Amino acid sequence: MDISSFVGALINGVVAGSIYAVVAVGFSLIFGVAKVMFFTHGEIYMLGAVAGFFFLQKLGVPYPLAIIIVMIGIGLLGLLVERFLRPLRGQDLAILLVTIALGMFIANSAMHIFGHTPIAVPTQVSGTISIFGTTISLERVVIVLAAAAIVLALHFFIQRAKAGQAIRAVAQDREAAQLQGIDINRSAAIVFFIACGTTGAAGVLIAPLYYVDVFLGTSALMRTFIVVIIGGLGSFPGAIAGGLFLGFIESFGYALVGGLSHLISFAVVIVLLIVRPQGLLGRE
Amino acid sequence: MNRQNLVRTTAFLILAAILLVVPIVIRNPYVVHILIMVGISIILCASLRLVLVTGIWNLGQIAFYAIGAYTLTLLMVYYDVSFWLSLPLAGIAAAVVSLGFGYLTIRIKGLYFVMLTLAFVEMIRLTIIAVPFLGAQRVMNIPPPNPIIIPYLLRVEFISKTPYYYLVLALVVITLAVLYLIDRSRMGDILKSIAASEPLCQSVGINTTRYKVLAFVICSFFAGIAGGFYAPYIGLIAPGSFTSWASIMVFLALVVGGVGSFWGPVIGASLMTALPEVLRGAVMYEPLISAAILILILFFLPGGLASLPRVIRTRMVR
Repeated sequence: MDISSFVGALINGVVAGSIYAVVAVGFSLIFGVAKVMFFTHGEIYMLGAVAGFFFLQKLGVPYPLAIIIVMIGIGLLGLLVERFLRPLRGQDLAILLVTIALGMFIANSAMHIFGHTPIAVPTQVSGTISIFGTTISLERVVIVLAAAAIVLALHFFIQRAKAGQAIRAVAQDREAAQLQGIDINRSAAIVFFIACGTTGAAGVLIAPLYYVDVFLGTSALMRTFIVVIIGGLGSFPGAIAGGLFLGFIESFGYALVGGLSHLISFAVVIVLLIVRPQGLLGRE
Repeated sequence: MNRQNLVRTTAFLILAAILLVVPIVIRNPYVVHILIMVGISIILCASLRLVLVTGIWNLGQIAFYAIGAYTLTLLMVYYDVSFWLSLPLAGIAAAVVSLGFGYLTIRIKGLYFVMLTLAFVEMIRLTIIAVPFLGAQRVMNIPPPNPIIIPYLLRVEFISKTPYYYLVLALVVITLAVLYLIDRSRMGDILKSIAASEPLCQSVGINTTRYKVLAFVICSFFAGIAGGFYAPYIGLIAPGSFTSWASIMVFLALVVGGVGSFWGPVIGASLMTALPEVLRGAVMYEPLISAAILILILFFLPGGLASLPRVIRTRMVR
């Protein structure tokens, strides 16, 4: 591996990894706070990417505006989903199956509306910059920065804002939080809004870089699994580290061992689940 | 024999008679094909129920189905082993793998086990793709089962679908009989009490881990048998048939039928396998309809379709 392909793999890893991180942070938040294994999450990401195509290509909405519109729209969808799942609270298996069914519903409906051919979304940010002698499209830099901004904003919201503190309290100990007068329904709703919104935004962000189709959801969900298990389910920093880690495994692994890289990721996941189910960064 | 038992036995005998003459009366190979696929699905769902009543959320059934299918294929294609020996070996191979996997993982609980088993399905699929000996991406062609020959009396060749139908019928009957005996035995009671409270079982001296692994191994054995039947029946296998999505669908069929009742998986497997065929005109909408059925059942009939008569009866009494 020469230096330029090394830098190339490094950059691809960071770009993919930052998107994985945003998606996984959402999944992890939902699991941590609402105790829901959200199998619809992959389809939420797919909806974001498809909506991105719709706003950027069909309506010609500027990139930043499209991101904000989709973030709010899909966040509202997340609110609906939370309300829908509420009667089943406490029944982990039933919730899991309902989220699977919802995913089927969304994926199949999207297929009827958009068809199943992959679509390319035109580049939104043109220009290149040069780092260490390697030319990088500015678009990739923007994607990574935007993903980092989303994650940072989430971090500050959860650590500093009153509602964020309530969310952390619910994640730690639901009953104790209730005793302190925290409305857990409200916390769950906020988490679903934020998690779905940011995941949808990740879909729009990445839309100009890859092809968009309605089958993105399943692979996104599988990747999210890998990321959250490596980082630890419910762990915020774990989801970020896990996302970047998977990004690197995929970019370097693909450059080095080809298709085996997927097998290696899943083997790592199984070993981790057996040896350290709380993940590399999670706490017991 | 009281009246209710008499009614049940009669109904059972009528059903058995119908199942026996179906391929003779209905000559349509397409219908027979669907019935055979229903049979495979029943084996998968009914054996999966055994681990679910134990409180193990196993979404990895298709991994062991794949192990069975590929074991049989390798034995028949590379080593010319007879189908009739390969089929039990397919089940045993799946059982051995599940013994190792279960021994390592069975203490992992709930949603973590869900993710673990799904990851296992993907790992098996990706292993098949990665290993050229297993056919990799390639489709493997499998010869039909060796003919059954009893001199001067009987000669069965697996050319039409009919012999396959009787073979899968026999496999379904054996599977259900074994599972029924387990369900009604002391072991069945122990498995259900493990789901109710594992610490309590341990406190009365039951080795719960051993029972859980045993249930898992039995379940995987039958999944392996189902895979071993599927491969030569379809005649070709490729890793694309053994996705985590297929594994989830087996689980959904079981839940639709109902885990609480012994006949739940039979109902669920029949409905969910036949549904896409019934909806042939609207096959594009099949996932929407399956999803809607599942959601309705989880919200309004948590015991699955098998609990419907009881729910109606209690409603009527009230």
